[in-house]
Amino acid sequence: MSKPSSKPLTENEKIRYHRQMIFPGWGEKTQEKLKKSRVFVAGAGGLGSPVSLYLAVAGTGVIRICDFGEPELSNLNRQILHDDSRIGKNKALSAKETIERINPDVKVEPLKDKITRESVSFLVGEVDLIIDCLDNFDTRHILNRYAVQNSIPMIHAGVYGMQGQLTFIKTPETPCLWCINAGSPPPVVFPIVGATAGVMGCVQALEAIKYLSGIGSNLLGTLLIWDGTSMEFNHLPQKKTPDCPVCGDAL
Amino acid sequence: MDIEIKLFFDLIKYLPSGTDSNTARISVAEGTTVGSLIDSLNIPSEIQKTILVNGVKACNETIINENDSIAVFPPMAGG
Repeated sequence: MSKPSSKPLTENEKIRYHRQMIFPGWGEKTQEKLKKSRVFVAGAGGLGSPVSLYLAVAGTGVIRICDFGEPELSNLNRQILHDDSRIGKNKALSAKETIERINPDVKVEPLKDKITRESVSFLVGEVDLIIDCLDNFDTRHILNRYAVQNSIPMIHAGVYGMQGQLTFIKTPETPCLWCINAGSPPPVVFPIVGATAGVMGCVQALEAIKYLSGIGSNLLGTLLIWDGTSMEFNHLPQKKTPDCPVCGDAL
Repeated sequence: MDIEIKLFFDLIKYLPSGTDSNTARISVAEGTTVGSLIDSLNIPSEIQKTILVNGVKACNETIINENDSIAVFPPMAGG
């Protein structure tokens, strides 16, 4: 497991990140915080692509990216980490190749295993933040339970067609994913426009960068519902489910 | 009693006619449940739904109170 660099920024890094470092309140100290950060990205698909790419170009120290699948031709309308030459390779390995080319200063740890109850602890490891870029609720609930039990914040998003949902989970301050979606809708081949995953993935990446850098505020206790057909962003307040079996007070 | 109902995406068409946004204030009888509200709006039961009442996850049996805000949307599982 790679350790994030504790070294000060190099001259190259000061140039690479200059345009974000001049954002009010950012500067070298905030950039060094990002450099010391470790993030777990669950899924290297439609959401995982913009998430990991924008975390990388922002200078996030270590990105652990996990996906057991392989890119298929029908993935390439949205999964911009991959291209035709990667079909048949593992997605996490393909992601590492793309991310390290776009920013060689970032460390990428590719994980080729499926997230299960047994593997989740080993796969997530010690990280500052989990980003849920998965495509099914069964695995999301495994990740949610692990995040709650280990007090690791998690940014959830889900997409469909031209719409998406997103929230920042940080229990006990906020509801957990079970409090929003208790069930697991059956996995189906769903419609998705690539830019939809791009919009929601970019919001996830920005939420992550703000949290890791300590700048701005996060979507805590709020579910963002985005309708791309009308370009409406709705904020729904959320509360804990009183008897939640994952994050409830009785646990 | 009056309540607020917010529907999203393809569900918007089930709001009372004349509603020009995704939100409507409607009157329902005391003791109305989420399930009977959804039935009265003719939202098909087979559509997967996430239902929040005042931000708390609800089910068909949840009883609605005056001025409650009910949000209904399909869960988005894709990534």
